[in-house]
Amino acid sequence: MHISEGVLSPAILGLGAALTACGTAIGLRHLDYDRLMTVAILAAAFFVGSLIHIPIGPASAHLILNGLLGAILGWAAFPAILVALMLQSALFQYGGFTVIGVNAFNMALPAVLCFLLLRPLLSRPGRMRTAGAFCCGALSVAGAGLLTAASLAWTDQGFLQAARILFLAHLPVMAVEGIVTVLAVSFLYKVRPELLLFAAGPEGERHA
Amino acid sequence: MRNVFPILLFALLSSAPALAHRVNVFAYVEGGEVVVECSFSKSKRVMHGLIEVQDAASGQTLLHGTTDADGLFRFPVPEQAKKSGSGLRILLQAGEGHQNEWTVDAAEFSEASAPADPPPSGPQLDAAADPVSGGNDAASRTSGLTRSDVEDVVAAVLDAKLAPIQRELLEQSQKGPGVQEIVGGIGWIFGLIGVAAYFKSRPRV
Repeated sequence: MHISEGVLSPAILGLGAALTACGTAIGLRHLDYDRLMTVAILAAAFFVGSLIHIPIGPASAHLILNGLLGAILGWAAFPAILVALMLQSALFQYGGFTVIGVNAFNMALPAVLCFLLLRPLLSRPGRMRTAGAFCCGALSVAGAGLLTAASLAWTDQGFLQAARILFLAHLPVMAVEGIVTVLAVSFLYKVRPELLLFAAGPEGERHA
Repeated sequence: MRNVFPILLFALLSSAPALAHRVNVFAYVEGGEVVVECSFSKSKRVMHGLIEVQDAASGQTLLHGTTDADGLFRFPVPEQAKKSGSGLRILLQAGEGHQNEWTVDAAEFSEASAPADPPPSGPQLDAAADPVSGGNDAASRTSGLTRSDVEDVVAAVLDAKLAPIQRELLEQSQKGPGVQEIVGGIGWIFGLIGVAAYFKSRPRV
C-alpha cells in the first residue's frame, strides 16, 4: 500500500496532501489530553505492523492495522497514521516523502469512515460488537486498497488491474486484521472501556 | 461458490504480486554488460518488472526491458552512453505503485567497456603467468601482448574476484529495517506524544 516516490502526478500528490492536512486537523481537534497515550501506542502499533508479513502462496502482504486505529481512535487515526507513515518513510524507506499525503489519506480515510459507519454496531454489546469490529478491520483494508488503486488510476497500470491485484493479495490481510481488531476491541472493552470512544457514552460522543 | 474458489486461487497465483513496501534495484557492470537485479526482499524477486534505462545526464530513454524469473535483466552498455560519458539511470516499475531507481556511474563501464567474450585464450595466459619457462619464444610472445589483451585478462579476473563483494553490497542494499530503526521509530512516536502532552497540559495547571 505504500506508493513509491515518482509514480504519481503532482496533482494527485497535492490533493492527497491537502486532504490529509484536513483530516489531521479534524483529528487533532477531536483529540483530548486523556487519550494522547492511546494514540501513541496505536501509532507505534501501526508503525511496527507493516513489518509483519502474511505469506500466501508466492505473494505476501503486510499488516496495515488501519482498521484497528479507526475503531479505537476515530478521527484521531489521521494524525496517528500520518506520524507513523512519516517515520516509516524516514527510517525504513517505505513509500516516499512526497507521497506521504496520499498514502496517509488512503489508509486513514477508510478507517475513519468505518468507525463512523459501524459505531452503532460497535457500541452494542455481544455479538454485534464482534461483527462490527471484524468489519471495521477488514473493510478498512479493502477501502485502503480501493483508494490506492484509485490513486494509481492515472498511471500506466490503470485502476482495474491495480484494484484486482491489491484486493486479491489483501484478502488474507483483511481476515487477519478483522480478527486482530475483534480481539483488541473485546479485550479493551473488558479491561479499559474508557479507552474506547464508542463505549464512552455522551462523553465520548462529544469528542467523536 | 465452489467454482469461484479455484478461479480466485488461480488469479492469486498467476498474478503473484509480492506486495512489499519497497522494491530494490541494484545494478553492476560485468564484462561490458550491465546486470540489473530487482527484488522486493532478499528472497522475493521481481518477475516481469518493467525496466527503463535512461541517460543519467540528459534523461533520454536508451532502452526498455523486463526482468526474467530470477529478477535479473542484462543489457550491453549502450554505445551512446559510452560516447557521452554520462551514467545510466535504471528505473524499475514493479507494479502497484512500486518503483525505484539505481544509477550506474559512467566510471564503472568506461573502464570495463571491453567486450564480454574474452576469457583470454590459453597460450596468452600461459605466457603471462610463466614467462621464464618458455625461454625466448615465450618472452617474445609476452612482449607481443597488446595493452587490450592485458586489460581483458585483468578485467576478467577482477570480475571474478569482485563478484562476492558485489553480492555482499547487494545484500546490504536490500537489508530490511533493523532493530535500531524499529526501536528508534517507536521512541520518536512517544517523544512526539510527550511534546504534545506537554503543550496540551499547560492550560490545566
